[in-house]
Order: sequence, then structure tokens, then C-alpha cells
Amino acid sequence: MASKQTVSLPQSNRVRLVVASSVMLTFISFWRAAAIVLNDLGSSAFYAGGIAEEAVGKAAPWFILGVMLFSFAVRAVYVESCSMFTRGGVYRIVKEALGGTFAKLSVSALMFDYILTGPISGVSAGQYIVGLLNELFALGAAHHVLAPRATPLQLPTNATSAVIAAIITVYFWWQNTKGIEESSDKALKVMKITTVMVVMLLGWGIFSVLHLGSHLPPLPIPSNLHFSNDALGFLKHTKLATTFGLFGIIMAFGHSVLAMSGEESLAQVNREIEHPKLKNLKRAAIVIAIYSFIFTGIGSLLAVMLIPDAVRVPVYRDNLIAGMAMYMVGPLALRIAFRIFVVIVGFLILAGAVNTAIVGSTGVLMRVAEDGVLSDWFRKPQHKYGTSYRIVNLVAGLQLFTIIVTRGDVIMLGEAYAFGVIWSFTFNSLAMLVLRFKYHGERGWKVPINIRIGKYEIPLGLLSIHLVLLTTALVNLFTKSVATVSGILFAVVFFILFSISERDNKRRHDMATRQMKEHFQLEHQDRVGREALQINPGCVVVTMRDANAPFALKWALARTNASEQDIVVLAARMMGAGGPDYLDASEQLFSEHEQMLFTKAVSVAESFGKHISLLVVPAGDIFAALVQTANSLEAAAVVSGLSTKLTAQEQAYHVGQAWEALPEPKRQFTFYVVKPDGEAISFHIGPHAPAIEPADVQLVHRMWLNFRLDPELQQLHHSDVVTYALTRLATDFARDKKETLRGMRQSIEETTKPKGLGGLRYDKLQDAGPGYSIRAPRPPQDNNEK
Amino acid sequence: MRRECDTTSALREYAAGVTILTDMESLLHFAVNTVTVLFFIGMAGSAVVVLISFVEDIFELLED
Repeated sequence: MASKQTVSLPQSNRVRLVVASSVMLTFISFWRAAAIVLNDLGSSAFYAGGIAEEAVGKAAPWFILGVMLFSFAVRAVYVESCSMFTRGGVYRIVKEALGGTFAKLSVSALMFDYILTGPISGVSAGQYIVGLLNELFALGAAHHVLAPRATPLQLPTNATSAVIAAIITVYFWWQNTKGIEESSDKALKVMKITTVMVVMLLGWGIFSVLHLGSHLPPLPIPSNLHFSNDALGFLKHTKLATTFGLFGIIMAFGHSVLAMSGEESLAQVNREIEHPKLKNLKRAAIVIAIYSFIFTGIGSLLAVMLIPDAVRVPVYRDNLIAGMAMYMVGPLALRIAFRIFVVIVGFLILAGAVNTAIVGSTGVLMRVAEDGVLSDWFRKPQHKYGTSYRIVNLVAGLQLFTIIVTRGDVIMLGEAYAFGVIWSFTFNSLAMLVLRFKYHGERGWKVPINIRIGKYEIPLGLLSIHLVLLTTALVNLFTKSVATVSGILFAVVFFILFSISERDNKRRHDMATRQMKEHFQLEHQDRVGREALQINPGCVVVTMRDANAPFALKWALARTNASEQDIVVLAARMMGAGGPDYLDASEQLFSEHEQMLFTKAVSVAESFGKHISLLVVPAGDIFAALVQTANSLEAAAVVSGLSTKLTAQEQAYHVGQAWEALPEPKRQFTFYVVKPDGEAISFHIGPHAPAIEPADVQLVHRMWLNFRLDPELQQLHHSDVVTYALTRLATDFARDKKETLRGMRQSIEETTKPKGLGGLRYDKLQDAGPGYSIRAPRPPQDNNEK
Repeated sequence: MRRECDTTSALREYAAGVTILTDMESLLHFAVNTVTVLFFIGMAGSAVVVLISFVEDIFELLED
């Protein structure tokens, strides 16, 4: 990767500010990546079948299957786009191919998709819960378990579902405001339990179908299509409504397309996939495609085969999988138990999709905000948690508005949802088609069927996929009136918002860039290194997030001899979910908040009469960024303020975890957590020499004396005693883990018993720190130190 | 004479309206037929893409 350098002319009165282009990331396996995407894509299995059948009739499962097969092709488009740009999502691709206007339009459609994912998933989770409760109330009344009533207690399905969806949304709004810890572990756990449910559902379902001799749904031919009034949309009053023919197939396909929503998450998760990236991306993509084909496709087919016509749409339309559980072959108690399991799994995956929707749409908006398309006002971090709370508020607010407007009606939500799904795919495929001729950079993989005629290569495969998407999107415009009206309205509002913001931002950023260049010596570097900052090994890295609370910087400045150790102030620029892995110099715009932060850091350093270097690193994970930077700079110490969310120990734990994940070579450092009152706690990161109590030293010495009595051990050293003792301990542990652990616990209990002053190693550690990291520790002498 | 003129112009307007409607219907039919043909051509091509990329990716997945 070529080194991009934007160097302003050096001026003696300006502080060096190095801006890194490579984002500090942590990487995950393709299984974890697949789990994250499936949490979004797999959740549609819970509602897509019901929505499609309501629209097109009993042949709907064939169309769902068709859509899931076609999603293999859409996946191929995303794989190609990700092989060109690490974060090959709709925004980046369309911007590259068709320019900013189309990019804003496509991202508006994508936002519509993401915003609606929350309400549709939340309401669907509610429908499953309410459906179960109502069934239990009815069964309870029938078996006289519940108090006798004229009619059994039944909750209003849509209203209660809307309330549940609102509660889930508010819960995740708060979690995201606090800064939810992104975890592929959770996604993997949810997918494991979902897989157990899918295996049971398909296994038991197929057995039941064979046992009952159920028939396949009617074939997907025009005569078997029975469109509902709403599914005809604007074509309701035309002659076409009576003679659809093959055109009806496209209409039905368009009504089923929401089953493949979530493919965009693949592009978002791509940047975090571990090496070899393309290979692992393809693996993740094929796992996702197969899983969703089996779960959503085959599941919908079995649902129609198992649930009788009389109740399938009227009763179980919005909780189809729960309906399947109730019509399996087996005792009622077992079926109810399985239905409860389905509802629990459904709640987990659908609630997770609500979170994915908030995280995803926040990520997309952060991305466009970083590009200067959304006003800086949205980027201002929350004062306590440091999150982009205004974007989270906007997203959650729009989702709550949607829930209230639709009042828990899954059909209405599904109608509108498909608009965002199909148009974002259409824009993406069109942009990829244009890039085949326009883009001449690196391309790891191409969608197959490419025919070369002369010097031109015709991308037949890509063209075919685009044709299907475009024709489906156009037909949907006429057949999905709710989607067309609400989608166009939403897209236009967002497009105007983006356009006005972009114009305003350009003016502000031009001014901000001028000011930044006046005050700072700006340097853009691919990667962080000592050379870029012109510092020596053993520096002190200080993190800074809030211009109003620079207590960690003051603490470090008070204790560091700047002539011996360099001080680097690190500001991490958090990239939202799906952010890029590389930011070009031209893409790195400084917000007002960042300007204030750097100005404050410089003024604090000046008040101590010490020099500092400023460093900005784009980061996906703050702890990974911190550790990677410390390692690159060969830092001896890292100083951070106490987090508002984590304890000092938890901060140190995360730093330690990130250090363990670092590739070799890596060096140890000391991590200091400074509290607002100036008290600091130190932690050794990485392997380090343990602090040994005087009593232990005595013991080693006594053992050495005893061993030396043996004439053959005259050359024995103290270290040999320690080596032998450790080797014995390791052997014991390998032989009898339980007993060794018991002995270790006993030893710790004895060691940590108070032994009077000067007897505890922990006191020493905390008071003096490691000694080698921040040299010449001394108490605060400056008035600035509080 | 005046009434005759009114009737004639009304008939003309009606005829023009019918022509526009007929044109619209035929335009719609043309659009529908075009979209249908393009969709199925696209589907055929996509099916081949799915087949080729599926085989390729399955091998990729099963590699160590």
C-alpha cells in the first residue's frame, strides 16, 4: 500500500499531528462473520413466509425458495464488491461508480431497509410472544387451569406486539447510547441455539410431513397465484389485474424479496474477517446462503405443508414457525414445549436483529457523516459514554415512529420493508456493472460468466443479476403502493437532509481544515510508527477523549520528564460498524469536537512547559487501537482516564485481552488508569517479572543453600532453584490439575492474609508502579494537577 | 348550428381521450412484456451464476 503523505510546510510553532490512515481493527473467523450476518438474514425466516403467502397465496413458499436461491447470486455481487473495496457496501460502491448523488440516493434506500429491520423484527418477536400467550390462555381456559371466564383472556395481538417492539427498541437504544460492546461471541451463541431449533424444526417437520402424507404447495405457475387486494398495489384498477400471466411471477417474486434482506451486513462485516480475507469472505458467504436457504426456504415450504389452510393465514400468518410447532406429529405437551423453545429462539434472534438494525444504520450514517455528507452535529460524542448518541437517537426515533404508525401490523411493515431491500441491491448491482468498465484497480474475484469480445469483457452474469433486481424493483414500484409511497417519501427526505448537510459541511470543513493547518503540522501516514512522530522508544501514550476532562494527560505530564521520555496524546477516531479499514487523507475530516480536543491537549502541555505529539488513529475497537499503537510506538506506558462505563480492572482486562491478540513481535508496557481525583492504578500488560516478597527470596536462598550441600551441585544458581520449582509445578499441573489448583488457591489465601506493613507485594506494586515505564515518578507539584 | 359544433367538439375530445387511454394500455402492455422478457433472461443468467459460484465456493469451504 503506497504511503499517502500530506505534509504541510513545517512551522516551528505548530505541534506535529499525525493522522493514521489504517484503521486499528480486530479480526474474526469466517464462522463468526457468518453468525453476525445470519443474525440479521436468518431472522427474516420468522416472518417472510407469512407475509409472502398473504400477498400471493399458497404458492408463496416456492417464491421464497426462489428468492433464497437468487440470494446466492446477490451474495456473489457482494463478494466481488468486497474484493475491490474492503468495505464494499452500497454507499462506497455507488459513490465510486455513479457519484455522490446516486450514492446519497442508494444510501437513503439502504437506510429505509435498516430502519425498518428494527420495527419488523421487534413486532415479529412480539407476535410470537403474544401468539404463544394467547394460545396458552385458550388452552388454560379449555382445560380449566385458568379461572373460568365467558371467553378466554386474549391479548390484542398487534397492539401488544407494538408495545413489545417499542420496549425492545428502547432497550437497545439505551444500550447503544451507552456504547454496546460489539461481540461476535453473542452472535455465535444465538446462532448455535438457532441451529438446534432449525435442526429440530426440519427433522420433526419432515417426519410429520411424511407421517401425515402432506402435499407440496401448488406449483408457482400463473394460474396458482392469488394476489390479495393490497398486493396488486397501483395495478388494482387496470386490465392487467385480470391477466397477469408470466408478469404475475415477477410480482410474486417481488413480494417475497424481503426474505433475503440482510445481505448488506456481509459487506459491513467483511473488514473484520481474518486473513486470508477473500477466501474467508467466500466461505462466510456460502455458509450464510446455505443456512438461510434451508432455514427460510425449506422452513416456509414445510409450514404450508403442515399447517392447515383454515388456520395458517388467519391464525399463524405472523408466527408461522410457532404454527408449525403446533401441527407437528406428537403429544400436545411436547408441541407446546417446542413452541415455547421457538418463541425463545425467535425472541433472541429477532431482538438481536433490532440491535443489528440500530448498529447497522448508525454505522451507515456514521460512514456518511465521516464523509462530510451528514452534519457534524450528529458526530458529537455523548458527554458520558462517548458514543454518537445523536445518530442513535435519530435511528431509534424513526424506528419508534414506524412502530407507532404501523401499530404492530407486520404485513404493512413487510410491504414497506421490501422497498429498501430491493432498491439498495439494485443500486449496488448497477454500480458494480459500471465499475466493470470504469474501475481498473485490484479485483480479487469476479461474478462468473464473462465473455471477452475484442478488448471488451462483457459481464453477462452481473448483467443478468442486475436485470432481475431492476425489473423486480420496477414492478414493486407499481405493486407495493405502501412501500412506494413511504419509501420514496423517506428516501427524498433523507436525500434532502444529506444534500443540505453536505453543502453546509463543505463550507465548515474548508474553514476547519484551514484552522487545523494553521495550528498543527498535519501529517497523514498509512501506519503509525515512531519515525512518523519522530520519537524515541519507551514513550508514554496518553489517551484523550473529552476536552473538558484532561486529567489523564495532566497526571502523565506531571510525572514524566519530557526530556527523557516522549509523550504522545492519542485520539481514537471510532469508526462505526461497517466502517472502512483504510481512510484516505482526503476522507479524514476534522470535526469541531476533535479540533477542541487537540487545542486543549496542546494548551495543557504548554501549561506544564512540556512538548507533546498528537496522534489520531481510526479504530474499530478502542482497546485494540490502544494496544496496537503502544506496540507500534514501542511505548513503555499507556495512560488512560477512568472509563465512565468500566472499572479500572475491567479496562485493564480489555487491554490485556487486546494485547494477547496482538501478533508477534510485541512488547510489554504498563497501563495506568487515572481517576478524576488524580489517583492512579497501574497494571502490567504482557508477561513480566513478578514482584517477589522478601520471604520468598529467603525461601529460594535457603533451598539453594540446602541443595549446595550436595557436592554435585556446587555450580547451582538461585535461578536454577526457581526453574526447577516451576518445572515441578507445571508437571504437577499436567498430572493433577484439580489438586494443583486447590493447592494454588490455598497458597493465595495464605499469601494475601495481612502480614503487617511492608509485607504485601500488592501495596508495593500499586504505590511505585513498575518503575521502568514512567521514569522518575514524583508527586504532583504543578497547580494544574488536581 | 352552435349546438352541433359543441357536440362535435365533445365527441372529438372523447375520441382523443379514448385514444390516449388505448395508447396508455398498449404502452403498459409493451412495458409489461419487456419487463417480463428481461426478468426471465436475467433469471436464466443468474441461475448459471449461482451454479458456477456455488460449486466454486463449496470447494473453497471444504478446503482445509
